[in-house]
Amino acid sequence: MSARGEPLASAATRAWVRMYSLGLPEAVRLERGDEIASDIWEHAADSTLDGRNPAPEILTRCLLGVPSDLVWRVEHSQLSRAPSLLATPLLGVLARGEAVARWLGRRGLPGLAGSCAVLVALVGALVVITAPANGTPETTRGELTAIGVVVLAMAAAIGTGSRVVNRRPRLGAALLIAGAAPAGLLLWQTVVGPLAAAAVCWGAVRRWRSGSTRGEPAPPLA
Amino acid sequence: MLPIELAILQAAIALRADGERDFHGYRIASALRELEGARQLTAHGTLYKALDRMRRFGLLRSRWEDPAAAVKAGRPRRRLYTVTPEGSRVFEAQRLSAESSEGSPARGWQPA
Repeated sequence: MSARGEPLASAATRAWVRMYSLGLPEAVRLERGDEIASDIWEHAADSTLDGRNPAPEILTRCLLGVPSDLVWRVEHSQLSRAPSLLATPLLGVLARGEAVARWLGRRGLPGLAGSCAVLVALVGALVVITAPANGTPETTRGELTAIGVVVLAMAAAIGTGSRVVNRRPRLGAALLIAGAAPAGLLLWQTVVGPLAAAAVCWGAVRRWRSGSTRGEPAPPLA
Repeated sequence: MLPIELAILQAAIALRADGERDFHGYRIASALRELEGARQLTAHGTLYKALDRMRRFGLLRSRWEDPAAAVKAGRPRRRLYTVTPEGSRVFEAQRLSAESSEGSPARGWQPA
């Protein structure tokens, strides 16, 4: 039944589902995974009957659904069930947003971003290392490894961004946001994770705005 | 109510009229494609987020099929949805409202 590229497209889609549902309650996570797995299977079976290769469409459906997946993730996160736990620090950070940005500007973004990169890299490495032991009938080792590699890629984006942000502010800012924003969503339940990601993104946006000149250090943000 | 949710109700009620009381995600995606004359199926995230929302609002009811039946058929188990009486009522109200103004309730929606 497997057309060219179909196993890869299916595995990539399942890996993405595992990734964005990571950390959610077990029942929610498994139901989402089972439902998408069923859809992919039906899609592949239906395409085989028609003699079509389903791989491109499976991947397209996965990619076009990413924004909705992330919104779904946020809706199902612990935030909605424990607002009191997060509301106070979140409001505090929002209120102090300007102070955080100034701190980032004076002390340099690489300080916070570098710490985030190390933290995210540790999470990714742990997922990869423990994949053989944590593989279950619902989660293959390959899928877990793929998730770990994606998390490591986020860490690399944050790390690289923090290194180049002074010389190439826009490229650095784009890399920082590309790495920190999804990492913050994945670590939503840890309170510190999303707040640190938000601070990095905030600082990156400030650098983006201030750094239109390539090859020159960005001016101080404060 | 979002346009895709109305389109799902429309497609599900059409399936029911054809004798398919329950539907699974891929089945409704196919029905939506036919309904809209679209080239591609609705994105996973768009479709299942809408189904989840409709279920939480009581427009759809869902149940997982018997795992033994899925194993026997050699495929993953399906999550089967049914339009609730509330879903039918909401769709009829929207249809009448749309008819009195500008036409089909699902008009304007395109698969993501």
